[in-house]
Amino acid sequence: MKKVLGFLRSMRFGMLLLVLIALLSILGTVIPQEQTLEAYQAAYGRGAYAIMAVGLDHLYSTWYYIGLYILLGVSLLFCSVLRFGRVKRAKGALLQAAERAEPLQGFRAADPGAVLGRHRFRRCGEGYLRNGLGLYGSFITHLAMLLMLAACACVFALEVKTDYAVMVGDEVTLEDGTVLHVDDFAMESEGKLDYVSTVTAVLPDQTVQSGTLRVNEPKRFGRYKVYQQSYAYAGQLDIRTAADAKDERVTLDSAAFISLDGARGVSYMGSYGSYIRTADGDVLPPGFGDQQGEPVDAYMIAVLDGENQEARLQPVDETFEVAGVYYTFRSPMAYPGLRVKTIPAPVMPALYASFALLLAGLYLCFFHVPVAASVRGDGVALKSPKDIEALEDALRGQSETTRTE
Amino acid sequence: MLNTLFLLPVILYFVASALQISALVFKKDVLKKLALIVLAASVAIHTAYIVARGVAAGRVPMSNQFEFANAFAWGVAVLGLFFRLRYRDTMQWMVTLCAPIAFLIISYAAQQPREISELMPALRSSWFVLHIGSAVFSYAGFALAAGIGVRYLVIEKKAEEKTLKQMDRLAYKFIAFGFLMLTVVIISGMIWAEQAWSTFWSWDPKEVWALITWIVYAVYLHNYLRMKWRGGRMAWFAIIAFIAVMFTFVGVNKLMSGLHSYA
Repeated sequence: MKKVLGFLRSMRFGMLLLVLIALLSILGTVIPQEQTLEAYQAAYGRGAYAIMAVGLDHLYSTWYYIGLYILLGVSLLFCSVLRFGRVKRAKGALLQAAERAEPLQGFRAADPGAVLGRHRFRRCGEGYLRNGLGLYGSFITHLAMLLMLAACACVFALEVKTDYAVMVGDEVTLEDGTVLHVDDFAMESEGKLDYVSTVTAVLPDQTVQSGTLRVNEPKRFGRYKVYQQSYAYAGQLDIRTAADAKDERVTLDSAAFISLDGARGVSYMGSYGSYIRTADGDVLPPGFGDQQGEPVDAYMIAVLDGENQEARLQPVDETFEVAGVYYTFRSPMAYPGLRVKTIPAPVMPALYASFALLLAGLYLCFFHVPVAASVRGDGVALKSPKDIEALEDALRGQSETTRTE
Repeated sequence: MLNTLFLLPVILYFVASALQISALVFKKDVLKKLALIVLAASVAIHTAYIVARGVAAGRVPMSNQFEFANAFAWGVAVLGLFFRLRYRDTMQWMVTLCAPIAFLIISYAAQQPREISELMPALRSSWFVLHIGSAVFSYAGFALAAGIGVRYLVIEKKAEEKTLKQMDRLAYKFIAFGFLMLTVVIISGMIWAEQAWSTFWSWDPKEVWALITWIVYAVYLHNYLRMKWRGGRMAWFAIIAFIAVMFTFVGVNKLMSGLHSYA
């Protein structure tokens, strides 16, 4: 049991896990993820079955890949939290080691304490200590990694994301009764391409909040965070049941058959973007032949009128009649795709705390080298877990200055 | 005008490299001094180019392969020049490293399309500068560490122990600095991704290769700090690890598609 624990907290085990994670990750970038069997067959032939069998098609969610992170968490737990006692004693141990260390050769000063003070050493018990916080750098770094792994696991396991395509003027009701109403959507802001949704939210307690969503600017409404995630175009069709009747606007976000009697009408297949209307009135794809003309939005439709069936490109703003019903397609309307996300409250602060701790820990590890000093008469002995040759040279130089003075 | 301003540092980095190598071959101190002056001039003009391009683009110019490679070369030159001037007695050889590395990287940049394009909406974020800026200095630190590794292996047999130790320590310092900066890159990228794409991590090839690079250097640092590995094998380590950096920067963009394909 002791041997197992020793292995789990050893650096070699941690390194082994990191190397395995790196190697598997390389595999995950070489083999495209989340593809169909047909796509793998096309790329790897019979190897496709092996890829699917061992889960290399979704490597990052396989049990063995996640398992490596769990083991890494265990390793971090052993080399951080469970070593807290040793970390607590580190300062005392370093000062004691300095007392036992050989004196620094070439250093002589009438007042060694003053020289050490000029080099940012502080009195600590019987000895002197410089950059004492650096002793905790490694501990803080590993603790931060552990916290980050735990917080990331919570994020992946507990966050709930749902995508909604909402037309301008429409609304969507979320799980707890919050209503999101899309007031406006624009694809340009200050003359630049942008995706901007103006949203009003009515929370369950009837509080009304509104805000503007951009790609990099999600907004929080109650317990939801709402993102400007995507956009799409919907067809717009005005329908009149008689020549002098009032138009009724229909929004089409997918293929549909529009008919009064269920037999004769218009089959809508989708928006086809900008086409070119020639001088003859024909609607052609841009660059078709050498035709020149004005760009015009067009839809692909099929007109079903009894025996007659005709598929065609239908330009906007042209009215046509099928079985006594008048149809006029209008320019497509852009609408936003909103992503609504929830994460349990404590997870995000924990994750951000782990980020800050990690950076602080690394800084202390690398650039805040702890050094203990012990004064012996007119000499000093130094001890540090890291290379301190530059400091030793500087102290020797200082010692000469002191003698000159 | 901007193109001319860009070509000047390309030429000057080459001249600084040639002068420094000539100084080593002919053992002439005056050439070394000249190389340092040319390098300093090159950094100044390069800085002016980056500022001018930033003004013309109306943003920080680090958004595509050209702009990043250009900033990367600048980062290498700035870091190298800083160390050369800060430790003028012991690091005269720094020009031998940073001028050729900066020249190679800016030459790569010169082969990329240089048009100024508008930032796509996802890149218009306050995290942009921190994320890409820290990547510039991270990669520059790793590049200089790899350069030191090459120099170490070249002079290993004839150099004094003290010089080798100094280079070993300096390579470690560059890698520690690069590693800290790479951590900033990854963390700022995660926070930014959460704002832009609603998720901290998408397993995008660029993200995964940044993680792989981070792991490679984490292994280096553990071996240096805990296992007390020193000398030739750490020099090899710094050189080989830099392949991961270059693959993250160039290879991922050329060979893999993903959320960072624009970069």
